[in-house]
Amino acid sequence: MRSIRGRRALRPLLVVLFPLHAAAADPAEDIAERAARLDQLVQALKDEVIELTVEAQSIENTVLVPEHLRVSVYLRVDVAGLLLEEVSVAIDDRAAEVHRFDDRDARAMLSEQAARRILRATVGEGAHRIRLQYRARFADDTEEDPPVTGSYEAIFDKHADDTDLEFTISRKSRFGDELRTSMKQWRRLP
Amino acid sequence: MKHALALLMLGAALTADATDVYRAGAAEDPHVRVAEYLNRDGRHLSAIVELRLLDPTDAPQRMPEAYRWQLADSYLSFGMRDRAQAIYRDLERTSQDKLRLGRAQLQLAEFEYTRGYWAEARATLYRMRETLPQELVEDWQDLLARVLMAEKRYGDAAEVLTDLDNSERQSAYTRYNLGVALINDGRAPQGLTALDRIGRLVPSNLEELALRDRANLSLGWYFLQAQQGGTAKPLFERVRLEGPFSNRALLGLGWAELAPQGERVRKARIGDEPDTDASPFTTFSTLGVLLRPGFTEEDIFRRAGLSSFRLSKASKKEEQALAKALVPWVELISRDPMDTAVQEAWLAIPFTLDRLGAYTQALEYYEKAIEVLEEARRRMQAAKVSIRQGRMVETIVRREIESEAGWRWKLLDLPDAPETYFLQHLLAEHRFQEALKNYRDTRMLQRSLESWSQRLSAAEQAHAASDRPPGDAEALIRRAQRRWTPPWAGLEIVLRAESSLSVPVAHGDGAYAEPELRPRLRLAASPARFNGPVERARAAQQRLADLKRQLAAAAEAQSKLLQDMSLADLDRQQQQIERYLIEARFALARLYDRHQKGELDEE
Repeated sequence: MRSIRGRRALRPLLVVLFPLHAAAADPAEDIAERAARLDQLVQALKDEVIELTVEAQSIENTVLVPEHLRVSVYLRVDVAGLLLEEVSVAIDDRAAEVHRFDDRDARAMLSEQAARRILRATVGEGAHRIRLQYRARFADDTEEDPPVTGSYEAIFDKHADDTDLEFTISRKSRFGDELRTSMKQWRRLP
Repeated sequence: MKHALALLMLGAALTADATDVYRAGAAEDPHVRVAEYLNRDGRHLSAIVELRLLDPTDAPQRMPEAYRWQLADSYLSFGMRDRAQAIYRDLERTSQDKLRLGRAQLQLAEFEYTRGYWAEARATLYRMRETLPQELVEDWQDLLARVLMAEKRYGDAAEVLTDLDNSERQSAYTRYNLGVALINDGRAPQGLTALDRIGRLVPSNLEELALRDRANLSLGWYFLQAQQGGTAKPLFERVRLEGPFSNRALLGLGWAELAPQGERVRKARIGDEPDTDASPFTTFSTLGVLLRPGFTEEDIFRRAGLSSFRLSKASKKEEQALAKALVPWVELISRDPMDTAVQEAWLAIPFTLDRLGAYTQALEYYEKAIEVLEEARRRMQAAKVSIRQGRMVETIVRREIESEAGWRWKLLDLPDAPETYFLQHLLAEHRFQEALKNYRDTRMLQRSLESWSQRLSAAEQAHAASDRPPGDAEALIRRAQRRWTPPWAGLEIVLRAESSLSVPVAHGDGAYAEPELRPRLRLAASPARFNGPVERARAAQQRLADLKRQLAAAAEAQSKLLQDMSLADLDRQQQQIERYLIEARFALARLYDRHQKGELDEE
């Protein structure tokens, strides 16, 4: 008699804890429906916010950096494991624009296709001087290793359309450790 | 030496010949590559805006493939499934990159699964089956099985996982799911064999170790429920003493000592595995019994003050089983009393002591158990108050309020709030995490609009204060003409061969007229109002204010949803505590009653 009582005492506890036991009814059905409805609403609101942000960004660009004066500067890293820490870029005698990269930003640069816009400014048509400086580390560097630094200076020609310049940090040769910086100017096809 | 030398190029003027050209939206387009950077940096909203500025008409089907891929991936990452799906469908027709397409469709289905759109996820997965690249077969099976299991279609899930005979390429997680699916489908012997394989795997990382523990715990409780205590014991003993499943394993181990030991259970074959099991263990009861020295130490009883009771009430065999059951439970009650397994151990110990005839200690332990459970109930109520104040969710959201990670956002650590402990299981569930992501997104969007409101005001002021001469009108017109894209550009016209042709005069009145090719021109009406930057900024500010109100309402509804989910989970846990409390009080009253009646002395 006693052993039966012991087993009965055991049973309800097992049912509560058994992880494979399928739930009999779903009391959270209402919550699931609300969650789905809200998800749809949030998706629609995101759409609205994006439309508005695109318009707002376009207005800001029109006012602050109109296309005929606009110059955009991009940076690309083509060296595996090179993590940027700081980049500065300046046009003519203007103050340099400085970007600091945290680990996540720096790693996001390590994709063949990725480029980061580091400057958007207005300049008049004609020749202009641009300077780029950077400081970086390799992912496997120790604290004692000195940072990797580099700089580049060039003249570019601003034309009547918006102008895109792209700096690339790459290896000088496939097997060497020396780095080089290059710059190219892009033109958008009509 | 791997460090750079400074390279100085003074006076290296670039001429027009040195420029490279790109088509808007092509892979070389810096804007597309900026979007790639932003996506990799978790800034999906910014990536979408960057891309959309290239295509103000919002017609991605007219843009190059690189643009469409980037935009669709950005939309999905930001949690905008419908937008992403439309572009992926378009890419299905045009892209030759079937692997990328397959991966994208799997991601889409994963999104649908985690957000609870199970029917849609199933449809997406079945739809891609015909063109599924070989490299993605196992991922596809795994996801489809999870979707089917979410819908409680365990038999279908098991079929999906076994009908390709690729068990050796499936992950341990997939095989675990197969075990669960088989058991829930009524094919317990095969399911138990699948789980047992996971329970014996040599883990290569912490996740696999946790999975192994989980498989053994599931097996152990299964056999315990089937009155197979002898089989359950070694399975519980395989679970690590410290780990996420250790408390429930210790609880089960104690009950396994008291449960009927049962028959030896032989393993069954699963259809998709070769019949070459080299293991010398062919039954569950002989599997991997580990000796745990800590469990045989005598002083564990002294630690719990249990060394003086008289073992006279039960039979010799039962007495031994009861004493063995106490060992893991005594260890268990030294752990966090908010854990339901620990709470149950607080009840199981006096129950066992009562069975052993140690009534005084049983009384003491029931009283302690009631104290522990009342404390748990008090903390539970404090947690509910805290949930209503929204403290935990607010702390989580504030930590990364600026993050645009959308659907990719991950909850990496938990705040120190009263409800955090009780909700740890709920916090790990998709339904809570996805709702939390949406709440976080609405808050982030509100802040983003606040920021844009200020930027638009600043732009308006800058425009008013600007003395910059306007651009050359001729040059502006020339640029606009160059960039003008006809509305039909990019549209595909499907041509088909007619089986029969007829001459134009065969129909109608027989008169043949030259088609009117020249459109009639007339002067367009002048614009009703000038739409310069200031006017556009003002209109945007109005839309912005309206949108902020809508976002605030959505955020409130999402917050309420999270609160309701949490409270429902806490209610369920509180009911468990209340049940334990009733059991403890009833057992205590029964002991006092028997004591009053002198029954304990007689026994």
